[in-house]
Amino acid sequence: MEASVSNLKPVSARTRLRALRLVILAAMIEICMVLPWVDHLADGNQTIHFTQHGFIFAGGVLMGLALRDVQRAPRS
Amino acid sequence: MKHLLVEHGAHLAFVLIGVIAFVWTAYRPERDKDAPLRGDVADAESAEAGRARTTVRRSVARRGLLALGPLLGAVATGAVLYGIDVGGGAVPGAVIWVHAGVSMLALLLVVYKVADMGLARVRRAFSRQHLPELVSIVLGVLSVPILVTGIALLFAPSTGSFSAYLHLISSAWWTSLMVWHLRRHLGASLRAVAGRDAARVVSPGRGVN
Repeated sequence: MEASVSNLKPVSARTRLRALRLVILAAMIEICMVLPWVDHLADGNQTIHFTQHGFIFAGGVLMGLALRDVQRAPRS
Repeated sequence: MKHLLVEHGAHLAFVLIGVIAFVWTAYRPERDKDAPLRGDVADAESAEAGRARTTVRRSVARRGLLALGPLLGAVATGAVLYGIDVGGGAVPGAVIWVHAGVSMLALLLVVYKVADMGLARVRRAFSRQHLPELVSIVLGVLSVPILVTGIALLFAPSTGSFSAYLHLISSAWWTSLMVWHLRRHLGASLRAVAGRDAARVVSPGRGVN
C-alpha cells in the first residue's frame, strides 16, 4: 500500500496544476465571449450568437471537468 | 458596461462561482495535517469506491423516478418556450402556465425525494469523496434562482431582462447537471425498483402485481 500511496502523490500535484490551467483557459474563453465587440457581432448574426453561447457553455464544461479532476485526485 | 452586466451578468456570476469552487476544492487546507498518509489512503479507497457500482435505496429510487416525468416535462416545455422566443414568435400564455405548473409539480416531487434521503446524506455530500452528491446539492442550489426568476417572469413576462437571462442560463446548467446525475443514478434506480418487482414475482404466496 505504501508504494501505491507514494505513487499517488506526484499525480495529485500534476492533476491540480493541469486542472488550474484548464480553469484559467475556461475563464479566458468565457470572458472573451462576453466582451462588447463579440457581443456586437453576435447581435447582428444569429450564427455568431449561438456560436458565442456554445463557447460559453464549453467553457463551463471545461471548468466542471477541472473541478471533477481536483475532487477525484488524491491530495499530496 | 451596464449592458454587459445585464446581458452577461449571469454568465460572469457562474464563472466566478466556478473559480471560487475550484480554489476551495483544490487549495483548501487539510483538516488533519498530521495524517497525510491516512488521507491519501482514504482518497485512494474512495476513488475505488467511486468506481464501484452505484446503488440507490428503493424508496429514493421510486420517488426519483416519480419526479423524472415532470422534470422532463419541465425541460421540454422550457425548450418549447425558448424555441418560440428564438423564432421571434409571441409566446402563448397557455404554454407559459403549463411550463410553470409542470415545473412546480417537478419541484415538489424532488423535495419529496430529498426528504427521504435525509440530512445526513446531504451533509455527506460536502466531504471530499462525494462528487455525485455534490452535484445534487448544486442542482438544489440552482433551483433557487430558477424558482425566484420563474415567479418574477410570471408577474412580469420578458425575454430581455436580467431575470429572463438568469432563468435561461440557470436552466441550461441545471439541465446539464441533471443529465450527469441521471447518467450515474438512473440505471441504479431502475435496477432498485425492478429488483423489488422481481422479488414480488418470485415471492411465494403472493400474486403478481
